[in-house]
Amino acid sequence: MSGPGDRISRRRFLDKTAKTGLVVYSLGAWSPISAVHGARSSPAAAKGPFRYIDKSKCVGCGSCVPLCPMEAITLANEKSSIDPNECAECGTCWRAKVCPVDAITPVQLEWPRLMREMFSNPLVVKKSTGVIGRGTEETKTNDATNRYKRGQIGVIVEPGRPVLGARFHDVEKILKKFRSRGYEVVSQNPVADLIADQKTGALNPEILDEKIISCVIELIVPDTSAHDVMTAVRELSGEVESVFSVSIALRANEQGKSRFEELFGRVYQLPNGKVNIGVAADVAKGGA
Amino acid sequence: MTHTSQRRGLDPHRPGEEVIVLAMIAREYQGLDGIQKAMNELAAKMLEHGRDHWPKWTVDRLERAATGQPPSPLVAVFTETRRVENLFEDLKKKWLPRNREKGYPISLVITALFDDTRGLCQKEGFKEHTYLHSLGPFGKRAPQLPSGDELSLITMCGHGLIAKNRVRKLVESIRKGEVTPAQAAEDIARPCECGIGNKKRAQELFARLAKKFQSGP
Repeated sequence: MSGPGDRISRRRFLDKTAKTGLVVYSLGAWSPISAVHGARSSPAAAKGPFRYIDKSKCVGCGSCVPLCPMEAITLANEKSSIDPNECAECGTCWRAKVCPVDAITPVQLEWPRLMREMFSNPLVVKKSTGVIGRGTEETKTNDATNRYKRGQIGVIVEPGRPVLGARFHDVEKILKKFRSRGYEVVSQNPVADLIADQKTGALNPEILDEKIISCVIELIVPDTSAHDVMTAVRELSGEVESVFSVSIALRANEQGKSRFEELFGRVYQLPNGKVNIGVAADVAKGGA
Repeated sequence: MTHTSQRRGLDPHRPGEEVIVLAMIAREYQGLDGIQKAMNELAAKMLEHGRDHWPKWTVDRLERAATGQPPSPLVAVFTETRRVENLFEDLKKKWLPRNREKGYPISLVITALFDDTRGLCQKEGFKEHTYLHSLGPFGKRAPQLPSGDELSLITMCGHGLIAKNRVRKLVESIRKGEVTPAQAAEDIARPCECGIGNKKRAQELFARLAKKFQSGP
């Protein structure tokens, strides 16, 4: 566990990554990510090798263009190409198998570009959570884990979500904002592993330009902090360049009702959401 | 995984349109002897109550979960509340009592309109344990997000892999008569690795968008 002021090194992160047994689920079988090879050198804007479209194969059909969630694929002079600066390495174009000539070419990514795939390809498993995807168990298993206890609020902030993606610059702004107010990010979360300076919430500067589809920042705070959390969120809304979504997790009261309005007042919320219905509460050792 | 919490377009005036049932084993309990078999059984029960109204790929995914190593979480999207009631009635007979007796802490989560979940819990005798409320998007570019029905389709993939341009291209194809709304709905839901695409709702959204842009966007 890092102490205040510790900085995560590239080596330490890569060691962690190696220990995760980073794998990608593709074509119905688990295979090591290193099974997909073939790189080309990158322009100055993008560091390291990146996914690309082989122009010698591309027939200019344009089938791949609308598939990209980051709008990084364009068609010009009857050839498709991927803008490496905008590509989040989610792999959607490749997995969709729309290219009639197999011109979309995945590569062995390197640090720091590897971060794009880790936070954009939902089939990458992270050791810190043990689950596929970017999230955590959050409310889903709270009846068994008691992760969010009575008197606490789970605050889940997702930079990049929905639609637009985000760079780690934005992730860092959010981390620093909450850290400056005395809140700590929950460990067992892929973002927590990237924090270089626990005191400020700063990330390793090498990753700040990397673009991702989204990630999950999770905090657990006392329920008396509800208004302070909303103040931070409103401030961040004018500071974060892209978008971020916010969710609030909290235990039901004794009657099974939500305490959201009691704690947050008239803050807008969607009419739909997740509810853990508590069937594991009296089964798990740690449940409550 | 299974980011169902930011789904747009559900309306309290259209109750029961979408009820997602998710089952998950907390990480520390995944190695319990027999617990994976209990998840196999749950997948089989989900199939029993939803098979005839799901698209083939959902049935295939749940059949794999019922017979092989089931994923955690295990997810199924229902578009009729009655079917979820039937599933829960079934689970209460043997599956839940057995899990309690054997010490299998398999969590069940509903993603739906909160009113729908409340109704289900009251009817089936469950009590809400933990809520996740979504406050929507913030940030400088939030005003640039697609609006309404487009966002409803895009947020059906919680991992953000449905592209705005893909939705627009499919709407255009419907307008030209090249594909039907049902085919468009299938096109965006099929690659969903989490299995949370709602073909029925997507079909209605595509039909509405195609009609709206009949005379050009």
